[in-house]
Amino acid sequence: MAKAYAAMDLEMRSDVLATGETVWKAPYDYKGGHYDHFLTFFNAIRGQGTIVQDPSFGLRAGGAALLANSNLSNEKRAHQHPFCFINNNLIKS
Amino acid sequence: MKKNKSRRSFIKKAALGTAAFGGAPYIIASKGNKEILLKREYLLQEHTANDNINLALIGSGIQGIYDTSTALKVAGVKLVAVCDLYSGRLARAKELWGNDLFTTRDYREILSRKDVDAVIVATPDHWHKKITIDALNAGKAVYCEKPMIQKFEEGAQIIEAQKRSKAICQIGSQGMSSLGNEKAKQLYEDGAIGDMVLLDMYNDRYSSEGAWQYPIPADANPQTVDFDTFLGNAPKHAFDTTRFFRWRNYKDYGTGVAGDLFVHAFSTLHYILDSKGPNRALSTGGLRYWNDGRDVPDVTLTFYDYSKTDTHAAFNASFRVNFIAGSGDGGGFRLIGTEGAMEVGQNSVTLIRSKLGKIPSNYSMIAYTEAEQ
Repeated sequence: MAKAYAAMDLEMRSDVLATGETVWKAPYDYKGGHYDHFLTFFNAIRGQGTIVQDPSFGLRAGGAALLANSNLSNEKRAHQHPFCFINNNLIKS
Repeated sequence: MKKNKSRRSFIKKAALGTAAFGGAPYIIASKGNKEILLKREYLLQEHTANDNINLALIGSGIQGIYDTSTALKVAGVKLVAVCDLYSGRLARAKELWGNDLFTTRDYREILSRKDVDAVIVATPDHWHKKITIDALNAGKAVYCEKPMIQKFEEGAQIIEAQKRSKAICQIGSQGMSSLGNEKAKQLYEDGAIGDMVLLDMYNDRYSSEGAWQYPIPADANPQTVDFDTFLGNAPKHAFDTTRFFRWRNYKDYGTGVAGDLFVHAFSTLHYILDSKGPNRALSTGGLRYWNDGRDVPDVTLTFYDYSKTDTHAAFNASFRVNFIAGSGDGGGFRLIGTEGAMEVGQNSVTLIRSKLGKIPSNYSMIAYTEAEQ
């Protein structure tokens, strides 16, 4: 069996070489995500760039979160059909 | 997403070395076990008087102060007015930002000011919709704290108000705009983790402050706190400083750990994957320790299902928040794919790639004769 597996040539050398951990880090003087988020907001007001996290985005993120609560407050949750969320009637903008 | 999400394609891109994008971080990817510096290049913008933005803050609590302090670091932004329902916070606002500040307990006095261009809405969750819509209708740009909504049906009304007013409106999951999140999106789209399989999020807290037991000032009384306005459309309740200063602990005003913490993870996840959200959720939890009158759990575990879309495979998401984590503070946000995993933060991304074992070892060979092996 070992020979048969070896014959299949399952282990590519490139796969073996491409393993490990790579870390991308912000520099020590990075102004931070909070600053960048406000910069995006003010730039959009000044007519530069667009808003990604707009109300439609906010509804999808916030709505997904609320789904946990509606499910949590339901004591028979484990035996019920889960609450459907993306049935585009509710979420469609 | 049209990009090929194969491992080979990712390696090829990585091997190209440095790729610089205007205003975007460098990508200097390579094989594993390396540390690479990200970079944000800010465009040098020249401001004219017409570019100056007058900002107002509605809700000057913890997050409102962090928001405003950060917003004021952007060139050409000036704070002109602050609204809060507790007079001690208005005094604090003047202490932080100057005595010239216009302060009020009535947010409508802020919206009627012609000199206000943009407002930050950092009130309790149950006030987000009303104030955001009123501000948009008044022609103000709105930065509304997360979660945008306290009840699901509020979302469509805010979307409609924004479209009608054409005013700028951004929601405040601030981590989404970070270098770390941006890099994670690039890596995902380049196929660094293959197909999405699992999202693993957890947030462990071990402090009264972390569990939303915010301090209550000694001078809080019916004269200094406008409790009835705070209640708004919430059910009537007798004056209660705990409900006012620790509103997150009550379903009438807040949204539990999901609205406070899950929502950040959703914003980042949806941004990275270009996802529209989950199909269903299964949630459990309970109140294990902070028996201070709150009506929300302090331990919550929720599983979400995401269906396959053009931008991601079908996958599951696991969220866990523990406010009485005897293990101490901690947290994680990890996307696990068929070919790798990414631990994503605001200031870093760690990509882990392992070798998929395809050849059986002695573990399973033991069941066969020496000859057969």
